[in-house]
Amino acid sequence: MLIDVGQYLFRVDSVPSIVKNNLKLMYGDAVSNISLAPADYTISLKHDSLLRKFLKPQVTFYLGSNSPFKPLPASQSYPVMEWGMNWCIAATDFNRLIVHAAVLVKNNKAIVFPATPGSGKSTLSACFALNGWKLYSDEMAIIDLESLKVMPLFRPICLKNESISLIKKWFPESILTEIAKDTQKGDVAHLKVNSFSEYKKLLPTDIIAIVFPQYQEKTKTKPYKINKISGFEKLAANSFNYNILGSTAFNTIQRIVERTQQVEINYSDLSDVDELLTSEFTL
Amino acid sequence: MNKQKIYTYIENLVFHNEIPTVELKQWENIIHVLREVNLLAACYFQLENEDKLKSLPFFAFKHMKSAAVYSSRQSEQVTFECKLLQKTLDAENIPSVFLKGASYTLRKSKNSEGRVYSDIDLLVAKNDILKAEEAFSKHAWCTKKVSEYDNKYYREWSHEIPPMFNMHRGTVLDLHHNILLPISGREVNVEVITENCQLVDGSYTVLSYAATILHSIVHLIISEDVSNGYRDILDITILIKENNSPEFWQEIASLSSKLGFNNELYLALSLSEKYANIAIPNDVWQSFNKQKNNSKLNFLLNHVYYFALQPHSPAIQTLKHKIAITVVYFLGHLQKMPLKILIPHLFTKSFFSIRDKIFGKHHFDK
Amino acid sequence: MSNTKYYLENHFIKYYPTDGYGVAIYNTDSRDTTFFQGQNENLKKLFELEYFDLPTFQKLIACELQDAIQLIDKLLLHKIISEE
Repeated sequence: MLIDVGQYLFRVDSVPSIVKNNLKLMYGDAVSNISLAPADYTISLKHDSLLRKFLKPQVTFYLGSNSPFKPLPASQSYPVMEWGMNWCIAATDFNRLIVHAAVLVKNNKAIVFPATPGSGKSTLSACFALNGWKLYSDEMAIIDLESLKVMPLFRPICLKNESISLIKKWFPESILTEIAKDTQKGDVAHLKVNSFSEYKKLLPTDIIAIVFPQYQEKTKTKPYKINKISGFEKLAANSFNYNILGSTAFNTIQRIVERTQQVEINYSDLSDVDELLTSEFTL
Repeated sequence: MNKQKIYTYIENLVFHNEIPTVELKQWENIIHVLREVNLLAACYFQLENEDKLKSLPFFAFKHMKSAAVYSSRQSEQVTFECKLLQKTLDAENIPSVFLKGASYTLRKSKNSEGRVYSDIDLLVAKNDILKAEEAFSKHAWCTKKVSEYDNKYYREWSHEIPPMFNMHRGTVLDLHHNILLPISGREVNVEVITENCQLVDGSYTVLSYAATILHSIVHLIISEDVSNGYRDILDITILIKENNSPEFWQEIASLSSKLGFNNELYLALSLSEKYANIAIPNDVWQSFNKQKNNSKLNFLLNHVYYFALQPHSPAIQTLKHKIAITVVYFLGHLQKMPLKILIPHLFTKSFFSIRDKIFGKHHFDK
Repeated sequence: MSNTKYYLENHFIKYYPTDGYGVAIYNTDSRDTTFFQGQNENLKKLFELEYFDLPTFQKLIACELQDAIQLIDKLLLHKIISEE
């Protein structure tokens, strides 16, 4: 089984059938059985030990014959698969700057939302993506080191805890996997927001702003421009491969910060954020 | 593409810089195998040196380039780390020798390009080990937590203390006081080490090239774990090519005879010839009459080591590879320990391995 | 302490944001990045010097003695400067 996520091609070697079904649900036409192109990664999800297979089943994610994580309960198989795919990208692609962030695009302008605690970026990603924005990623901003453009990825959104029920409420037609309970991130489900053919129309896009949302119950939506040195520091702290890229990352982030605005937004209502960003950046 | 074919393309690429003439799709196996054995970066730098990168399809180029970026960072980190370690050693007046990977980086030998490190290997005198351990612990180095059994293995039987790791940067340091297990009776006389050292960069002590290569060879041949064997034999072939001079051959032959490692040297040179077509001078071959007539040794060479060192990847592994790896596993243990220690050691290790297979590897983690 | 001379190490890449505030310094040896808040005009003047002592530093950065000492300690910790 092959999965084309746009920037990368995964060959899935052996996985439990429940995972296979979820992959087909989330990736649709991006799934195939043969490809003319070579796969970047061969991945699998295997049972760990004899006893565990029968008592409390566990699965381990593999890239080739290496397993980067500890085994996890088989009930979390699908999230483990998705996290494993994230890991493959972040741990091997040093040709681009990869920031732990959501990226949403409107009117050919990209906004990067770094994954600071309390940002609510997954819920934000889902709401914006189902409301006219294009989802480039809910998890990693893949930035070209020369053009500084951000690359679109074809992946489902990982929703956690309350945001699952919120999204189900606001968008009853949404396509979701079943909920995996008690993972290290709490309850988790994945959400499909676009088709592969819609995805294929997306192009590498210029970033116009780095936005740090902070969810605060009942607060009025307020933007604060932050200075570039703080923006730099936060962006660096959220970059998966900053340390590996070293001076290249330093220079790239410098250029990004110079040509974009950096804004903090306190919010309680996502539609206010949407409105604010749309008007502020003429999207 | 069958396994043998895939392997042939890989051997020609890694040892001869020959770019495989295959369809784009078939590069998948090649890149995945190179990734498994950590040779993507080495291939990048070798091809770059011969100006051949432009002949690669983009798929292969991007993966090799990415690995090269990673390895460059590691190499810079190791250089920085060794600078700080040397400062501490100098302050405490502890003579030391950097071994293996760190020594390649510090002396900028050709095989240092594209290396992926796990640890820094440092040799100090047996009497200085605790002093060094204490000095390093004042600079954020801690001793890794190992099981009781492994702790005893390290301190009593092996030639090192349990690994230390740096709290700020995560680098791992292996402090050795000799190069082989004392208990095996094949311990190298410490004077020999000090007689075969040289200074690089005005600051760091490393073994001479002949001693370095011999150390790599012995380390490879007596090892029970050859999962990095392909990388190791590549290192050896590159180092030999870089130092191919009559003086070098004389030095390595004489050192090997003195220390009783002629069998290992013969095996490694023969393997270098098989993989990389290295031209070994005739007079060197002539000195190996005993080895050439040793049918057991030659069997090991052609039917065991030649296969055991090949990448341990399902894309190329056949039954004969798996058998060869198992033979090396037992041989490796046997070389390091007398049978009366080996059997309990293997039994304990097997017990843990079987236990982990039943309960899972992390079940007993604290 | 006021007689101590400090000198700048030289293996750095610096970024002064165009909004006039702060500096990011990348150490090419240790591969560490350090951030400083403050008027970057003053920081620029600092990095033009080869040597400085505490009074010079305090005047340049235009701050209280306590803050000057703290800043020097941070610069020392990150090996951006060394004591003579």
